[in-house]
Amino acid sequence: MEFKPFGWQGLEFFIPSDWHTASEGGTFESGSLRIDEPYTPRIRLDWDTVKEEKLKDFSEVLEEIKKKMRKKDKSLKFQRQGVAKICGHNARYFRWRSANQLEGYGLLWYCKDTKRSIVIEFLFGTDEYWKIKPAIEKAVETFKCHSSEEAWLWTILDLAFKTSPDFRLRDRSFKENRMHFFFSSSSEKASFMIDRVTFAENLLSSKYDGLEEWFEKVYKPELKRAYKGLRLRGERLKKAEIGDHKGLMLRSSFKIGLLRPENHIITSKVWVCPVKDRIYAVTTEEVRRKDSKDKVNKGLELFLSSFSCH
Amino acid sequence: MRFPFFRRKKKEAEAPPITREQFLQLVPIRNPALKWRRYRTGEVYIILEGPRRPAKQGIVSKLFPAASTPRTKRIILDKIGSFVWDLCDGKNTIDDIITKLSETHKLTRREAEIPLRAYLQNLAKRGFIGVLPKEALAKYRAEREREEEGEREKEKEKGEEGEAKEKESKDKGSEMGGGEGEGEGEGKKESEEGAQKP
Repeated sequence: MEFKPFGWQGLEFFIPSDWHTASEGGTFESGSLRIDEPYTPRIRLDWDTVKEEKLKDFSEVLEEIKKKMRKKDKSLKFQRQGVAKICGHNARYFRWRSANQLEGYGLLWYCKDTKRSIVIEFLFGTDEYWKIKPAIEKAVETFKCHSSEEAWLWTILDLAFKTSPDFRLRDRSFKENRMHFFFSSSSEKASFMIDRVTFAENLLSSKYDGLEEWFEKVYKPELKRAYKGLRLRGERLKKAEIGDHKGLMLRSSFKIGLLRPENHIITSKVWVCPVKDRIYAVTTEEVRRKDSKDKVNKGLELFLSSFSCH
Repeated sequence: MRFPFFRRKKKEAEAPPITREQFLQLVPIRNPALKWRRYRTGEVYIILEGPRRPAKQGIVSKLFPAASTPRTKRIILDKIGSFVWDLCDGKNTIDDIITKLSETHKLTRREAEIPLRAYLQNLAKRGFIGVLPKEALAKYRAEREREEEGEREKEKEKGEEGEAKEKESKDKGSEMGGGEGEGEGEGKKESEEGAQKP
């Protein structure tokens, strides 16, 4: 079994290479996601921020989980539960079986560093346990709910990049042929936006007359919507080499504030990756004050250095 | 006595939900009643014939009664749409189409599945395709084959009946004609017609 690194919202672990994110939602504070093998759900992951003072006993939380699960499926039987360790934290494990030959192995723990309670469940058929066991072991062994490293991994389908921990996912959308993510730093001094469009060749030959037209008609209005105050009247697209590909680049800036105006510098890069037949658009925003000495945001630097289209 | 306002509305029967695995094993098949052709570029267009246009009022309609032409509509599928349309031949399951689509367009399976699902839904809504489980499709095909066989048998029977009639007419002709040339000729003509009829 081959494995690949998986990361989302500060949680990192290894999963088999043919498993992928099927659904995700929420924020860093509370959210959930599901990872599927091509046909069947395999991992359910939930996290929620809880203050240490309000932290309940594990057994109490486990009972709540059991109640919730039994509401959905009355035939559920909890077989075993006990103590375990994951990522240096004390955890509780539980195992259940339903009447329709489905089994689950779950782990529940509290991460003091990120103040999140995390529940991970591995799902498998009763006859699949030995097939799934290596994947469970690998995920549990490699699980990181907090890390001292100053980089968080984000992976979805075949897209992967790193950000500094102060960047949060603010907005995302998954449309028929398009993925969109918007990240901004907690201090709101920097942000970036990623767009990925599939069927690039077909789109640019049949619907739009090249990448420039796509940028003008599709991406530019979205840029204006995302960065209010941005005026792109005088700015012109420039041809640029982005990695190994030829693409387009646009630089613009706008100021906000009366007494201490902040200069927002926006850089958009758009290119077509023929290897994957996709259009990529990456926009970064840096907020600089006149008196500030920092020239380039380190978080943005990390993101740009880790991002690649193929 | 109950007031009509408080009558409970009957709930509409909901279709049983299907799992993703079951969905992927469904077989899309083109509507056989649809007319469709292909441009030289390879793109498929579907021809829809609607109701006739109402005739224009006034002198024009009187002078040109053919003005009420049938309304035809062309729905052009783009390259990828045409690619999927070709695969909706009743042989490929949705899973097969996802595999082929992801291979040809360098997509992950999930990336191929989402737009394909929407596209097939759109086609099915318009009645361009039907989506059937494999077993139902096999049943449908077996029924069609049986029907076709039945029709063939009927045709055969009719043909045999025609032949029998021919023979009868031949016999009658020989009896009536008593060896005259013209009678035989007429008998032959009838038999030819009889052979063509079925």
